Amino acid sequence: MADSHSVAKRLQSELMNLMVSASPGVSAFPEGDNIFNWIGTIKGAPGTVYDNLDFKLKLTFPTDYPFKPPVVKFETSCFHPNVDQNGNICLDILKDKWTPIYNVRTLLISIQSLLGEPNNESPFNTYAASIWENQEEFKKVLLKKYQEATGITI
Amino acid sequence: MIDIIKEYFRNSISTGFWKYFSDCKLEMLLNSKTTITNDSNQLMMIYQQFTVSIDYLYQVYIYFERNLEFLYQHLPNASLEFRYYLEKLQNLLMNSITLRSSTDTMTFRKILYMFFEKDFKSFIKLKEQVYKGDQEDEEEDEEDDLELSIQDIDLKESLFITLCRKLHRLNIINLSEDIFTEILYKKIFQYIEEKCQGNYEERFLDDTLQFCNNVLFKWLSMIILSGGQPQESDQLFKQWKTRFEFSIYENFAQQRVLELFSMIMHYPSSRPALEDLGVCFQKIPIRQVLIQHLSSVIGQRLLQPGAQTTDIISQYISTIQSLRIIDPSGSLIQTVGRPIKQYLAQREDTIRCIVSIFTDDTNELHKEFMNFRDNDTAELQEEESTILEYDHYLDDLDDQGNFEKSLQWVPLNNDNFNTNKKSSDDMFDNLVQIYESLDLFVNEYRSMLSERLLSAENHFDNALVEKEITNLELLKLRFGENSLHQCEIMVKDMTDSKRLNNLIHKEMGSVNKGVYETLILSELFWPSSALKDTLEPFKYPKEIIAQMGLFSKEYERVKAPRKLINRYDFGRVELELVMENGNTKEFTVSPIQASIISLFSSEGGDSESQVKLTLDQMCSALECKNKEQVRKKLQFWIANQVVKEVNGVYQLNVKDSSDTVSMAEVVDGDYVHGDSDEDTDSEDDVIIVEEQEEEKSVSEKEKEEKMRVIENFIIGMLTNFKVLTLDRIHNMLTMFNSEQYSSTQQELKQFLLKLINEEKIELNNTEYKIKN
Repeated sequence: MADSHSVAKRLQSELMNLMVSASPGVSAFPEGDNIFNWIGTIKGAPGTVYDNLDFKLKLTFPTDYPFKPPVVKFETSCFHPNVDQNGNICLDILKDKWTPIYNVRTLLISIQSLLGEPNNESPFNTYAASIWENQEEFKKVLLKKYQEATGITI
Repeated sequence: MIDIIKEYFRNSISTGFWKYFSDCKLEMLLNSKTTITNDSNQLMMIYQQFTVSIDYLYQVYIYFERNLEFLYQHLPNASLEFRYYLEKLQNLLMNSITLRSSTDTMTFRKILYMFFEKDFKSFIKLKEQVYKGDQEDEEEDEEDDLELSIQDIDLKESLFITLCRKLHRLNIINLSEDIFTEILYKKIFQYIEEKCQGNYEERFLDDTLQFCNNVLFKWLSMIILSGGQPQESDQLFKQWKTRFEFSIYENFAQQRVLELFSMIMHYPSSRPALEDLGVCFQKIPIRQVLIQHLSSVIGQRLLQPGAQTTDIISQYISTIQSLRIIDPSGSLIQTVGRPIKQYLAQREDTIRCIVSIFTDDTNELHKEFMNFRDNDTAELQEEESTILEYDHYLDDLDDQGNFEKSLQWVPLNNDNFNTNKKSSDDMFDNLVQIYESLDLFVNEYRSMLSERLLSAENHFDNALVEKEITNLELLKLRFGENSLHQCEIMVKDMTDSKRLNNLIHKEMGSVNKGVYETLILSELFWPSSALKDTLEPFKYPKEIIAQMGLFSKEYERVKAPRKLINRYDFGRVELELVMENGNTKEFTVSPIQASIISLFSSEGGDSESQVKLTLDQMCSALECKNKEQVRKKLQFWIANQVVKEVNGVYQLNVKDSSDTVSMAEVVDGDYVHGDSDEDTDSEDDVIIVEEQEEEKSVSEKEKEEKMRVIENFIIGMLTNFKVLTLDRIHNMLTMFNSEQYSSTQQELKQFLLKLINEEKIELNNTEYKIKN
């Protein structure tokens, strides 16, 4: 076990950092009493099909964070080529490309930009990947799925 | 046998002894609490009778002693030493006198007390006379035996010694030890109190000790040395002396400690007294008493809401200096100073006061600030390198020199274990140490500097700039180059503005040089608070706008790509109002006041058409949305009887007035966006009819900043959790931002209410959420 106290300290300072610096469209906060579990919120970036859609994420930090990446999953079902049915995300920096330089804020921003720029080479959701080229149709499906998941009509 | 002697002593000797006093009013001694009574004749008589009675006792005693000795020598089986029987005899004799009744015990003690005191007094009198010599006229006392010649004194002393010798034999000296101790103490205390109390400007300790040596110990020696074996009594006398010396130090220190706070207040003139106390501090353990007393006095008298911060600071400085005299190791000040430091750290204007104390050249401490020499820095560096050497030593155990150095390490005293920082001789450092970081200081200095620069009468005055540069250089020596970079730019703005004004006016071929001047400030380097908008926007008179435009254009050409942004609210205008009757009045006002009065100027000197304006008209002419602001500024002119109001309509006060408002000189302010410079000139320095905005200190701003972070946290929570109750918000803030969050739930509720009012969040029943 790593020193969970120093990990908690690091997460504490990341929280402070996240709260005081302006990061439009991304936010996160520890859930309940445990600083190792966070709830995140990402707003789709303007100019993408995800514009104005809010997605909730769950971030779980390992006890050897930041040497290992946190586990990040979409809580709000997200129709996206690199996100599977269960909300798992296919993103290199969450796997082998992770380095301790990243933090919650940069991670959320990366996921936010992933929404607009999917990696269609290795899709988790092949259907989403296949219709990505047709943005109009993609948006139609996306909004339908989003409404099913959240009950919010855009 | 013993019983017979006892009976004899009790019946005849005792009666014989007390008979000597039959004529004396002994009850007088008993009744008066002290033996000092007015009836000196009575005292004299008792004194003499005492001497005679002791003679009597002595003779009796000697007689018995001889017989006892004889008996002892002829006693075949004496199991005990002769000495034992002698003591028995002494006791028997004394008991028969003093234990006859309880009154007698008391009376005998009183007589003894009186005897010693009286002798001591006359002894001191004589000694003092001898000391004073003939240069002083002696106070004539009731005592006629004062008029004695040296021989008489000797005679008197030898009489006393003889008497003492007898008293020794009778073992009365032993019985009366506490009596003459009391007498001596009383004299010492009285002496110290009389001489030293309230006088801090001379050293008294040596003087006191000398007095004791010359007078008190002399007297004591007559008593002690007169008895028994010389060696024994010598030893005894030494013990006495040590004991008394200790008491002198102790009493002296106590006396001084009680006055320590006043001594500190009188520093540096109280230096001698402090040095005395320092000597005591080294000799006897007064540390705890001193700390306790001084701390409590400081708490009562200094750290009070009524005391001004500057006073607390200067007393703190004196305290440091004074305590360093007493205890050069500096551990005292660590302990005593801590509560003062903590108290000062709580006061919001402390930094401001410190900075102004040290930069105000009329203040004493300014000199010290100026005296900061390079060798101080050298010392520091040396210290650092020593530390480095120690590290080196860890790697290299062979290094003998360093090993020796490391042996010089001294354990920290109990009282300063938590502040291992070496207390510095430099007062400025001491004050800066109140705070954890230098940044606070630099920020406050910056804000004061901006104030001073902006409010200066004449911004292009070289003396002003030079003074600030000197201060800056000195601060740089202490704080390092980097931390004061911004301040440097601020001062440089002043000189640059002067140069640019000259240049631009020359370029423009302007005749307005000296009439229209611009102070150019680099926005990014000035404290944002100094440049924040203080007024609602309004429009300047068009001539001024034209002038500003020309200047700005020229500036942008000269300093491209920088831009000049004019500030409407800063600046100063010197006005000359030409009244109808030809009188002129001069005013120095803020731009908005000047703009208002210029509305009343009748065009072309047409004096017949009085300009009449309502508040609304003025506001629209000035394009100012804030009516209240215009009304307030207008008050200045009304108060100066230039403008009057009739039924909500304003006009010039015709009685002695009117007309051409000519702008004699205008100085204006502006500042630039872009990457640096800007311009501005001072602010309202005006004869204020309006309310002045209160200075916000740096710490207050910090509080605001803290609340802004808390706000961010709340918004962050609500973004991620949709809805939260007050409880949950409070708990999460406590859990995740304990450093900054210290409010109670009630205070949090107030703060949330504020956010609701600002339409940032909303409240549904008990749940808070983000307002969409």
